[in-house]
Amino acid sequence: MKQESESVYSFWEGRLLLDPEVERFRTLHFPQQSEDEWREMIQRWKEKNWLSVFPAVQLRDGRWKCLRCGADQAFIFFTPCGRCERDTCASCKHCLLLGRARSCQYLYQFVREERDREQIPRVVKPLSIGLTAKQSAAMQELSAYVKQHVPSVLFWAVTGAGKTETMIPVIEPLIRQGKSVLWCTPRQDVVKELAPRLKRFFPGGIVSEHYAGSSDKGMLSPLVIATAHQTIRMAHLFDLVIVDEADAFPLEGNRALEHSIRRSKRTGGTMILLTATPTDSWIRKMRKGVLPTVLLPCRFHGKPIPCPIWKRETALWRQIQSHQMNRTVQRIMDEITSTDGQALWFVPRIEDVRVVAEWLKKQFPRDEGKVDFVSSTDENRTRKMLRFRDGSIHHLVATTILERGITVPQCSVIVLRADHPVYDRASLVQMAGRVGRSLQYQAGKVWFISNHKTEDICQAIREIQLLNREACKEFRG
Amino acid sequence: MRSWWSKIFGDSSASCWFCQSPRPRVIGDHVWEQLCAGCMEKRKILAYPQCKVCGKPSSIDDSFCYDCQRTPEYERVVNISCVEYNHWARLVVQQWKYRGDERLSRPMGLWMASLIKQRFLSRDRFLITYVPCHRNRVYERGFDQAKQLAHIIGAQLHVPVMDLLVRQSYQDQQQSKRSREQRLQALVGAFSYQGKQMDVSGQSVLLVDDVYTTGSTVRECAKLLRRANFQPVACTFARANSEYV
Repeated sequence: MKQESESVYSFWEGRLLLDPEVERFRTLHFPQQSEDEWREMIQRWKEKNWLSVFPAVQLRDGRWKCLRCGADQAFIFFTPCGRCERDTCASCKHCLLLGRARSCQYLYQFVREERDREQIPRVVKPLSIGLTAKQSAAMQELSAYVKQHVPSVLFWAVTGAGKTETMIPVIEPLIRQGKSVLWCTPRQDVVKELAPRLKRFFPGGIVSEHYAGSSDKGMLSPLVIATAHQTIRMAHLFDLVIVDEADAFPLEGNRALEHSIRRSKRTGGTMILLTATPTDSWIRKMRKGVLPTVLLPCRFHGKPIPCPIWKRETALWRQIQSHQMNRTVQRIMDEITSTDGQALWFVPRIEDVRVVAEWLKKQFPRDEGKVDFVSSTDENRTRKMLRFRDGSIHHLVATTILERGITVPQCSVIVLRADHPVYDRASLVQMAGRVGRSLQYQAGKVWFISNHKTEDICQAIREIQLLNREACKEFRG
Repeated sequence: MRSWWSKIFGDSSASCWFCQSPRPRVIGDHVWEQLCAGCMEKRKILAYPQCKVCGKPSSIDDSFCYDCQRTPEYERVVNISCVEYNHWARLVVQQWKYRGDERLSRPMGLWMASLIKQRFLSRDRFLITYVPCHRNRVYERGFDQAKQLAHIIGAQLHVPVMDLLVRQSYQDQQQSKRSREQRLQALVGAFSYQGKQMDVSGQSVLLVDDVYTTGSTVRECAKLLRRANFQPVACTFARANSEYV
C-alpha cells in the first residue's frame, strides 16, 4: 500500500491543479481508483505535508490575488457564480485561457519541500555536436554557474549564434544525473520546432512537450519543453529552467508569468535567461554585477551581423496607397533579384500586410506569383512559412510575428515604416538578425525605411555595431 | 512619444471586443464594427437572400430552405442570427462557453440586441426567454450562457426576461459533439415548461440561444412555448451553414 501510494504520488508531484483538472487527470490516468481510496490518499498526503489545498483566488491583506498565476488585483473580476451561488465570486482574468480560476475553487499543490524528487539516472546517447571554440567556452561558463546553484544567469548571444546547440551540453549532465530540466518559450510554434530537435539528442521518452492541445501534457518527464503559460500548472520541480527568448512578447513585463516560471524552479535551482536582445533593466543589472552574464557576441560562422541601412522615404506610404512605384524599393528589389535572394518585408500593422503585398505584386509583375503575406491571425501561416523556407515564395510580407525564430538562408530584410511605435530596439535588432545566417550566402542586407529616424532605430544600429566590435575583439584576442 | 500624446489628446485606440488586440476607435460605432482588422476579416455576417424561416443563406431567393421544407409547418420557428458559425465564431464560442470568458457575453448580447431591434421589435407585447442549461452544467461552467445573453438583451431593449423553461436531462456528451440524428433523439423530453399558466394568447416570446446548428433545440423549446399559447421566435449568435455542422 505504501509503495503504491508513493508511485501514485510521483505522478502528481510538482503539479498545481484546479479541482476540475484533478478530476480529469484522475479519470484519465487512474480510472480504477475509487472515490474513498482517493480521499484517503489525499488525507494521508496532507498529513505528511506533501499536498496543500487552498482556494485559487484569495483575499490577502485586503487585496485579491490569484494564487495560481500570481496575478494581483488588477486582473481579478467579479461575477455572479453558478457554482457557489453567490453574487460576487472572484475569478482571474490572467490565466483564463488555462481554465477559469475562481475563489470558490480549490487549488491542489503537490509539493514536497523537505525531500527531493526521486532521481532516476538516465542513459543519454553520447553527444556529437561540434561546438566552436567560443560556443564551448560559453557552455563551460554556463555549466559552472549551474553547478554553483546561481539563481539566475543571463546568456546574451547574438541572433544566429547557435543558442540551442550551446545549451544541449549544459542540459545533458543534469539529465544523466536524473535531475529535471524545463525549457520554456513564449510561443507554441517554438515548442513544436524545438521538440523534434531535442528528441534527436535525448531519445526514449525523456522529452515531453507541453502546449495548449499537446498530447503528452499528462506526463512530466525529465526534460519538459513548455510554453510559458503551461508553467502555471507546475511548481517547485525543476533544477534548471531555461527561458528562451526571455524578452519576447508575453514574457516581457508580465509579472504573473515571471512569477510562475520562477515558481516552477526548485530552491537551489538555476534559471538561465536566453536572449539576443536583453531589456534595459537586465543590462543595468549586468553592469552593476548583480546578474551574472555570459556573452556570445559572434555567430557560429564568425561573420558579422549585417548592419542596417536607414533610408528616409517620406512619400513611400502615399505611393503604396496610390499604387505608384518607389525608386528605393525598385533598387532594393533589383539588388535582391540580382543576388538570387529572398526578402522578408516587415510592416507594423496587420491590415497593412495585404495592402503591401498587393502593391508589390502590381509593381513587380515579374515576381507576381512569388509574393505572399502572413500575419498572426492567418490560419495557414505555418504552411506559408514552409513555402517561404523552401524557396517557392520569394517575398513574404509579414508583421512582427516573424521577427524571431525563423531561419531562411538567403534572406534580406526590409522594414517599412520603421519609425512606427510597435518597433522597439529589441524587435529591430531581431529583424536585422534574420539576415546572413548561413556562411554560404552573405549578400543579404537590412534596410530600415521610414520618415523619421527614431531613437529606437539609432539604438538598434548602435547595438549591432557594438556587438560586431565585441566579436572582433574576441577574434583578435 | 505616444504616452504623452495620448495623455494630452486622449487615447485614440481601443481594444477589440473579442481578441483584445488594439483597433482604431471611432465614436458611435456599432458593436460589430468594434472589432480589430483580423476579427473583422474573419467574421462572416450571414448573406442575403436568406431562408424566410431559419435564416439560412441561400443562393436563389428568400423561399424556404430544404431543412425547413422537411419540417412540418406547425414546428417551424423564425430564427435570426448575427454571424455564420465558421472557424472564428467557433473559437469565440469556445472561449466564451468552455473557457468561461464571461466578458464576451456583452458584445455578443449587444450585437444580437441590435439585430432584434431591426427585425422583431415592431411586434407588440414582447418577452424574452432563453434555452436553459442543466443545473449540473451551470455548476461546471459557473454561468448559464444563454441566460446571460438574454439578460443583456433585455436590459438593452427594455424588455422583461422570464425563466420559462427548465432543462430536465443532463448528458455527459455535449450537444456540439453529436451528429444530427443523435441530437434529434437526445432532445426528446429534455426541456419542460415551468412558467405559470397565464393568459398570454398571441404574445411573442423571443428565445435566445448561442449557436443554431440544426435548429432542433430551438424547435423543441418552441413546441413547449406554443403549448403555453406563446408565439415563439428565436435569435442566436451564430448559425451553422450546412458544411460546418
